[in-house]
Amino acid sequence: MRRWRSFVAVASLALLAIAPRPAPGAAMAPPGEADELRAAIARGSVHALLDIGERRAQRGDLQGAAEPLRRALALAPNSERALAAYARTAIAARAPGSALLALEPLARMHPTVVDYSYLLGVAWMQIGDMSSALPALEHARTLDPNRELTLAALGIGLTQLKRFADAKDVLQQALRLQPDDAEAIAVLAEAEEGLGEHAAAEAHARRALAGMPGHATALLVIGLVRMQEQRYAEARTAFEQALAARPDSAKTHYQLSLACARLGDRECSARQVELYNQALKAVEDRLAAMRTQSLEGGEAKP
Amino acid sequence: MVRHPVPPRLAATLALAGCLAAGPSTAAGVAPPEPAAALRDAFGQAEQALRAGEMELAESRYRTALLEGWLLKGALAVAAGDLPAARAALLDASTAAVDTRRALSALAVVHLRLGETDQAVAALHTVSARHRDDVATRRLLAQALVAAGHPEQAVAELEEIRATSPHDAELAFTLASGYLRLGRVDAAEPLFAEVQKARPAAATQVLIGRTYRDFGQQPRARAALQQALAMDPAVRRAHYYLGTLALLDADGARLDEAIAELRQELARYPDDRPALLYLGMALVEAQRYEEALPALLDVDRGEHAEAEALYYLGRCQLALGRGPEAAATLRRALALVPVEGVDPRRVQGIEYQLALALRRQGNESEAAAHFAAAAKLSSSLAERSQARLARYLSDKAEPPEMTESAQLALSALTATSFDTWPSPRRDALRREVDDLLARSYLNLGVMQLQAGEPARAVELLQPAVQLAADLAGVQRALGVAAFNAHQFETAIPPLSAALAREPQDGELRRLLAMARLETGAYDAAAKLLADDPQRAGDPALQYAYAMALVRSGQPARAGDVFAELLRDHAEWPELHVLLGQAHAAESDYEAAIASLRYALTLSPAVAEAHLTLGSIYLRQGKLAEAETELRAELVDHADDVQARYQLANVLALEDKGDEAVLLLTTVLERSPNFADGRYLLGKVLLARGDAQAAAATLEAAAQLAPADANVRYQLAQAYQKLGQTELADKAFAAYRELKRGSSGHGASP
Repeated sequence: MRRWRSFVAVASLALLAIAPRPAPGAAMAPPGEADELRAAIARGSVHALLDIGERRAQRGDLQGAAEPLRRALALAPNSERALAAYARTAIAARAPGSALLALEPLARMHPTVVDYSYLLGVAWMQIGDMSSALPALEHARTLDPNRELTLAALGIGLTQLKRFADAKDVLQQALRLQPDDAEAIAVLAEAEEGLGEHAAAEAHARRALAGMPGHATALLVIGLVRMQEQRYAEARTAFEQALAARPDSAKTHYQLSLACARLGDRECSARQVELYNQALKAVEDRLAAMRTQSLEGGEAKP
Repeated sequence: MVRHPVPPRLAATLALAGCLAAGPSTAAGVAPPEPAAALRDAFGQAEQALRAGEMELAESRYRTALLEGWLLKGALAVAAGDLPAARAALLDASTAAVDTRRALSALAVVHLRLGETDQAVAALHTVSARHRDDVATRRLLAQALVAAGHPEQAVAELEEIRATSPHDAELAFTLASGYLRLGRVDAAEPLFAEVQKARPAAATQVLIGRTYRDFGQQPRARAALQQALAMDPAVRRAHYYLGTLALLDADGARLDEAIAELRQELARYPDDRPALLYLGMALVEAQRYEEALPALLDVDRGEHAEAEALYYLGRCQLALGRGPEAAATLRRALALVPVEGVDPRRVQGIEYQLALALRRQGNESEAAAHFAAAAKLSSSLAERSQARLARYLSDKAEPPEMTESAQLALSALTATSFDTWPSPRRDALRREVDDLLARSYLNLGVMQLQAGEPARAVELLQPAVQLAADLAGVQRALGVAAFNAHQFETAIPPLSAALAREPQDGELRRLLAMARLETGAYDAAAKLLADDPQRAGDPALQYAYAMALVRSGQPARAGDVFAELLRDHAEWPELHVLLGQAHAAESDYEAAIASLRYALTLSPAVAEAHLTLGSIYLRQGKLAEAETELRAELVDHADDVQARYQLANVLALEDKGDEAVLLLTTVLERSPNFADGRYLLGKVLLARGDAQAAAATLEAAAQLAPADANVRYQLAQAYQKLGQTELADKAFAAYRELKRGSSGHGASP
């Protein structure tokens, strides 16, 4: 379990912003590892398979980690270590859907482990299902009420669900524990903007940008505030910068379409509406696919 | 054994009778596998993996064993009719392993039978979302949706499934029932025709007739039931349902027709209890008491009779001039009212009949009480007798008959039907399942313990102890895990149990002693350590023993131990603190202060040195010095509850109530059951004039420390200030009573 904890420190909230990234540059496999894998498969040794999979994941070879981990999971589907390794690798590979398949049983079978509930909530958020994320995050919060990561994630979820007052409350609590968390500051700005507290929102957005230049949520908030001030050209610039950081944000596409419309740029507005619809559909498709999947299916013989 | 009736609105959804139910599928001539085979197999594989050093594989197989074991326990509970136990077992099964399909499907059926429709829907949604091709589960989901009051969703689900399974008769039937529920009779009729074509039996027509009846389609119901009788005059329940149709007629019960139909049903099926009951009821309503009596007595002789059956029997007995018997029967009916949650209108009738029976016996005073009770239930509740029967019939669930889907879901628990198993065989299986479950939990717990996760080990070892407290090593493992997780209260029972089995085990004895010490049971800790042979060579143990002696009020006996410890560990600061505490306990404050000051020179941050000094100065009335020491303690030990409490005590005496309240509030946030803290807070609040808050705080303190006289005294004062003289008098009386026996916080309350 200690390994898992050290991983969690790495799995910061930055993961919440899903962005396509190039295939990780894997370090060279040490000589003999392929033979080791073949031997592990032949012996049906879950322990050895997991060792190999975790080693590969640690050196960034996520693709190479997949095979031994899948084999381990097929042999020992209820093993906590196998499920956790699978989830961990899937998260590192920016594959929240795959991570969810392991995190759901992990959180169910080990309900007192705060990390599993937290990561389950985060994975649901990455997929785009905030309603499913909240119960898991609330559970994680019950297990450890003073965990900044959980509070910040909960704040993000509540903001997405437009529960701005609740979000603000939780995010302020998170920031008392970790005052410099740019992600939490940016989302607090978004919640404040939702509550109509534009000055506070802008101030927090600026603070987030100072800590993390180009932060998509902070730029979105700046754009929203400019829209309120009818400074549409500046709003458009802010939204475009936000989309450069997070191109799949439906909310930003929608807001940019409004800014373009106000500026009389119909083509831009229509394109952004189209992108907005595409982003929403992508979320819906991911969710529909997720609902039908599970790791259920029994054990393979060693 | 607890049996649970199916709630009325569910009756229709669970109505698909044996004519459609395939039941658990076992090929003809092939014996079902041993019910515990999967459990034994998983457990055996887990043990094998463990021996091979494959811990992850072992864990996975043990979890499979947990799943199989809990499923089996669920099946046994269902067979015994103990649905709450089945629900608990299946919930455990649903969290044991990755696979949830069987557990959740069966759990949903149990939820449905317990009337927990929302939970059933939630469970089935999970399964059906992951297994869209599982028609039986989706059909069951639709049935659950109907039961949960969402017929539109149910019909939508059923229509979607029907597109993929157009020849499924049960599906057609369920969809037709859904249409009837939505008032879409025209859509239902062709589906029923399909069902009849697929299963052209008289029993199918009976089922269709009953379903029409349940949804108020009386003419269609009658036609279907009569057709069933034309196909097979001996078909079960056709006359019965025709009888109930006559009783349910909107224009008033047609009693003679109902009696005739029910008699025909009973002629062929004399043991049909509901038919017998309705016949008795109808005969009473027709005032044919002589004929009614044997039927109702038969009902009463069988299984546990409901309040309504007893009401009719009592009424019948009264009408036949059997007053004492009637009174006894109606009393039994009345006793069942809270158990069954009987409708107040029915209760009023029972009260009234009982009053009449008592009056006939000349028992006017008791009769008057029951007349009054009947009157209190309001005359507006009274209803005509026949209306009572009709409403009882429409509210009453028919005996449950599970659908094929429900049977399939339950049969997934085990292919074995336990109905035919004699009790000893079931008990033996139950013991084996408990044993294998406990062994699996034990090994999973030990694995967590070895991984350095004692708190998680406790979670796994607790069910092991609950399942098989006598299993070798299980109590010890739980005790050790709880001790390592600092859950000392939890550790004490298993450590005690383990020590009782192995009284010579010194390690167990020491662990128990430490757990006792940590939970404040100093005397018990001292007794456990007194004869420990390892104590002499182990300074930590000696120190613990000395602490136990000092804190259990035996400072003199601690002297020798201290002498020995000081000889070898003169520079041990904690030892000098303890020595100081021992001196303080004997009111030798000079020696105590010297020891404590020496401890502080050895280690300025040593725990409890300043605290003890503060306590000594407080006892000596040197409040300023006490405050200084206690604040010093909190510099290095800010969370020390005793230091905060004592400082609050000093501040209260110094008339610094604001800070005292603040400190006590933080103390009680951390330790809400700290009775002394609540008492002091109440006392301070009262002194500051906030009697309302003081009373609330002191009430909580009184609950935590019911034998503390001084709490009662302060509480009485608070009530007095609030003008609640009656409560104040009671609290003063309690104070005097307790004071006569013993007392709490010394002389000054």
